[in-house]
Amino acid sequence: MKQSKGMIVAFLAPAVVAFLMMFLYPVTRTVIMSFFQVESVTAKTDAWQFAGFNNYVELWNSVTFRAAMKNIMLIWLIGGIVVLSLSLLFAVVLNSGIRGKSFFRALVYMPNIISAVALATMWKQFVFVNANYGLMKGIWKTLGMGNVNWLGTDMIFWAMLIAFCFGAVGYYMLIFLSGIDRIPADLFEAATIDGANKPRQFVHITMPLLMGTLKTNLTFWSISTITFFVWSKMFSPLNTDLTTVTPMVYMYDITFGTQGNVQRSAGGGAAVGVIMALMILLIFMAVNALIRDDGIEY
Amino acid sequence: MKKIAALLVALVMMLSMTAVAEGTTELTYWSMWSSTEPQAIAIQKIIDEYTAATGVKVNVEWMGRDIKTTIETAIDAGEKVDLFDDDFQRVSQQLGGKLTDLEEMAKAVNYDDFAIAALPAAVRGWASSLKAIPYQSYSSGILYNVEMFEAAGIEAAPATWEELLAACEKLKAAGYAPFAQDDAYVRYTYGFLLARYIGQDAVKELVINGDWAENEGALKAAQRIEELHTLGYLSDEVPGTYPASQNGLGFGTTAMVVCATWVPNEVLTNTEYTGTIGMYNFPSVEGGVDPNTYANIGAQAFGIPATSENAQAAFDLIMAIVSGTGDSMLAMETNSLPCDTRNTEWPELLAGCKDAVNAQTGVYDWNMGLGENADIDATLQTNLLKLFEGGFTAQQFIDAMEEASK
Repeated sequence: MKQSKGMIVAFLAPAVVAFLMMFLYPVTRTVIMSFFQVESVTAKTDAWQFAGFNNYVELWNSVTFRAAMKNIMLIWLIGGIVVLSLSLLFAVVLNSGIRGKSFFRALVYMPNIISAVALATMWKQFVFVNANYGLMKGIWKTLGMGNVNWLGTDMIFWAMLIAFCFGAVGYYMLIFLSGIDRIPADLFEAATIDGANKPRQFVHITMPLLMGTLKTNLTFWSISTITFFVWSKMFSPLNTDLTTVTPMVYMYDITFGTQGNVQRSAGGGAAVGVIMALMILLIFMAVNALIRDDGIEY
Repeated sequence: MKKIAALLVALVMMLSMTAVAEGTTELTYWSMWSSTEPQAIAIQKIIDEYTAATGVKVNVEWMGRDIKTTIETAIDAGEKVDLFDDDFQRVSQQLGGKLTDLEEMAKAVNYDDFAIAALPAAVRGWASSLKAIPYQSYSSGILYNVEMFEAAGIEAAPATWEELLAACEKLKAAGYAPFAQDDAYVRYTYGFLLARYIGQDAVKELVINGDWAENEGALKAAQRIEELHTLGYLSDEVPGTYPASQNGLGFGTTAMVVCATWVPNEVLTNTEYTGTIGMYNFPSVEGGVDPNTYANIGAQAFGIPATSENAQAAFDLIMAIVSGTGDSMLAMETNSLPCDTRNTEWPELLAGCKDAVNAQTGVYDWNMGLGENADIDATLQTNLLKLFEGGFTAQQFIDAMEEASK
């Protein structure tokens, strides 16, 4: 069929214009803004003052931003190991032919359909509060952890991470499950006939064929953790503190100000945004370089 | 058929244009409240009465607290917003330059004659002129369970730190934990102590310049908190997860909390406590510069964007909310302080706070100025939590702040 250039342009134009307006323009403006001293997000460009890398230097010198970076790295690394391991384990177990697969799959996934605000409130008020009405008070005592102040400065980060991981496992489990479902069953049958037990099948069949899925999960995990915000706000709702602060929270605070401090720096906020985007890009490139899934066809 | 439809559409458009031309004023109000909050319900009632009396239609957008992230963009984008509200410091300082100057309109209704003087004074200080009209004000001090004070034999509200310690001892002997402290307000308590020792201006200088190790008042204020901890005057769960600790006032376990006039309402809502919660002013300290009559006073405030074409109508609506029967109804239905000084009747729940508020002579900013330096805000919060937990001594707290400020 003969293609008309006019038609191609006409069909592409709405999508291209929408992309340029909704995505490219804000991204470009944010990157440029990060090199300027700008008070408010909507400030006119003639009020911008060129500041070179000053916003980035100030971030580097900020105790709060450094704490936020440390926190997000711990969430990404430790939370990532826990969440992806547990979700893979659940996916493998659910795929091993156990009875009630649909029920357990729904059960593990259920926290994902509950609002993060409700989940965080539940964890804070009924699990971790050790005063008057902590549901787990008796259980912690039995476990010898009755005196642990879960929401004190030493433990609140870990309490937040545990609660977040609880809510995240189901989502990644579903992706792993779909990856495992795609592996042809005859591969496992052949391996069983050849005498390979379940762990060997997992190591030599499931894992190599799940590399693409693992890559997807790692990318999704990185995006969701680098933009970590709601859980931090729920665990330190009225005041930002070093133990729970993340780059997104820091960006929000400096872009819009806080109660009692109305100073703002939209340029600084933009610099945080650029750093976060670079982090995701870097992780994505590292994951692509380290995990190869193009060698096996099935 | 098409022609008839087109004619009908044209007719409807003409009719609607005629209605506008006839002078039906329509105001658009972006509100910081969510539609189900008591404040929103009370304001809606006032608006309904205002519309019935004047014929001015008011379209309300209940935006909730996220208004702080959207209002400036809306004003800059030329969105039709005739009035909005938010925290009075934010409205004055962040948006003052984009708002209508209300001095002349305020003068015409003698606004300063009935407003709580400290509130418009603060707005003028931040925005150089009256760019916002405060309402729904609050004041601060030490809120206490009156029954526990009586049971412990405390006859007069403590005016000095020594008297406060004596009261704590009596409360402890009577089986009550003297002080509650929630995580959200650790800077509030420390801010009060610090401002009593060195005054609010010096507090701001301290957080900006960071000479913590050199500042005797900073150490003394931290020592007072350490003292409360060492003497066993803080309840077991301090610092609690807001509002867990302050709820102790309603559960009958804890006698006092440093906070503001919204506490009685919160305690009532959370614990269904029906007894009296009183308030006395935060005590003075030995060698301090500020008396016990200085307190943090604050409010929400209305602003009118400079782009509004209905500034006078918007101002009139604001006056209906912040004065006379509107202000009284808002105070009564939301258990807050009236902003019109002619409204001498207070909500019953706040009766125990009235003497303290009326005795106040000086005004502090939020957290007594401790939030002046955004860079160390989170560090200060964390280190104060450790001080209240007992994880830091007063000296360790000062050392940590000195280190963070370098």
